Amino acid sequence: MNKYKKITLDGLIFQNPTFMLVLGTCPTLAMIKQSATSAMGMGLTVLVILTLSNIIISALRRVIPNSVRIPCYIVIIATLVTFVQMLLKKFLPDLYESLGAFLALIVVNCIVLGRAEAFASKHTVGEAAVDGIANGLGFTVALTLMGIICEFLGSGSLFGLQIMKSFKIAIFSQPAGAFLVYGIAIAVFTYVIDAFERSRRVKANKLARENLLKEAV
Amino acid sequence: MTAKQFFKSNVFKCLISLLCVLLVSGVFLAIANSFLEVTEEEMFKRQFNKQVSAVYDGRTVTPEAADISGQSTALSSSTIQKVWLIKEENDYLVQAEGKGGYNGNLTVWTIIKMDTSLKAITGIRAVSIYAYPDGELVGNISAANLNLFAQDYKDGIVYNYGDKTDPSYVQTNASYSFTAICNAVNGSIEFINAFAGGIVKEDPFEGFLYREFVNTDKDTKYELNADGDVVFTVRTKPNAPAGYFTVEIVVGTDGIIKKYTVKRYGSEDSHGEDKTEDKYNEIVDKMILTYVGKNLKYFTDKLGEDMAYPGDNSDKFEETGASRSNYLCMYAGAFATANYQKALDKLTTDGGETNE
Repeated sequence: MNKYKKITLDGLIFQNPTFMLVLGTCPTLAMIKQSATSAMGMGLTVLVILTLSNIIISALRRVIPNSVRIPCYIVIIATLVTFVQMLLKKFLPDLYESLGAFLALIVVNCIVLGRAEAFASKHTVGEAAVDGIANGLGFTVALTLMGIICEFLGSGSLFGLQIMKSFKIAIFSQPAGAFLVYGIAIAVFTYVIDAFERSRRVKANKLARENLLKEAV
Repeated sequence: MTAKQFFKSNVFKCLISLLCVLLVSGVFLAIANSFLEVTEEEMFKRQFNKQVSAVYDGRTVTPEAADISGQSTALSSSTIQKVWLIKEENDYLVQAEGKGGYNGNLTVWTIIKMDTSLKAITGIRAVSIYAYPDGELVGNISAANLNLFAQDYKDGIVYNYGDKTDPSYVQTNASYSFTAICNAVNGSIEFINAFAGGIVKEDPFEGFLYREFVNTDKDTKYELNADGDVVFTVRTKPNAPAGYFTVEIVVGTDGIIKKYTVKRYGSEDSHGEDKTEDKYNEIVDKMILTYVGKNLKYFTDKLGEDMAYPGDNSDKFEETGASRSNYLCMYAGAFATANYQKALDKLTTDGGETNE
């Protein structure tokens, strides 16, 4: 398999930071209970920061001494977060307000530091960029999906558009509801991936058996 | 380790790398900040478009800054910061900082409807929160809560929605913030009345000190008794969760308190604490006894010249456990003793003033 395709599929599905690695739980729970728009906004913000930090860290991987790599990564990530914060405050003030404190907390988001340490510091700039985009997209899609579920069940609306006026299950606008949706989403996602892996293994075994039979004949 | 060895060592390399990253980041952010900084003007435009334009149902309005220099902007419970005239609608937009929030003051925008001559207030069009310090539970204050200001407006109204002991109390779970909003709106009305030259309310307590926690709009008065002493009836403002107190203080020669009586207790049962209203009242009763025979110096020695609230359970109170109630009673004491001479002068020259 092409290495870029593998990196992309890993970030999006097989190593999805939200559903498979359960990283970045704090902003996930905070944003999905708010609205689908906030959840998607948080996802896209992390995508931009993650991609840029992966690129910079990968480019500097031979320059930064190993002993001070973590402080350097944190300074780079914090700088990017501050920069994105300034951009949002200037151009997207509504999103800036809805993300609140969780915007600044991206500095300590495990996904960003995790990918910097586990991937960007060991791979080329191109690979690191693809990894950043894939993981960022994986995070964004996961948050948006759960945000849609929570917003629809919690206030009967989708992306702020009221769909069902009298339908409202208040718990889904609360942290408890967000926990519930997150848990169920992890279970469903893991089940689907497991089923897919199982069918892939069955197919591979079947193919191997047929090849063996052919060779024997 | 020699200097040469140090400069060749890994430690030096690490230090330089870290410093370089910090330096580049700092310079980058400084440059970015100069381009991306949100100016006060932008902030105003943004808030105006978001909070005010909606009030006019899409009609185009242009705010024109009013010249308020030379006006008295520091009011007893609020400070007027800016005023704009919205000519198209004969409205004034007032930006006022209301005192009494949980973590500080709240900045509030009040749109005041005026008559065509811009001389008299005809109502409140809208109230919105412009800025607030961290920790304020303003999220609990709904649009419906803020709409009450417009709905309930009448001539001479003094809003008290945040005061739990007032009949107009509104449950928001953000009493402090709502009290500050009320203060800002009341101040805005008071200021516009004076500024527009319409109904100028005479202030019987003009020049009096320590008014911040005294409700000079309601019940507070002073008069002479048969012994020639000044009898102050002081209704304090609430200091949430404590409600307002009404006290009677007899001040004699040299501004010394002769008698201190509580007419209305403002203490309330505190959430989750094993203290009833009565227990708080007992503490207050014990404490006010110590005020008899004291003058202003006693209060300012305890709480400073500005009589600022020293915080819950401060050792500056004679009795602890009802800090906020104690503070209100001390404040009333300071008000009476500090203004004794002024009140006496007024009483002997023009028969005294009341504001009931």
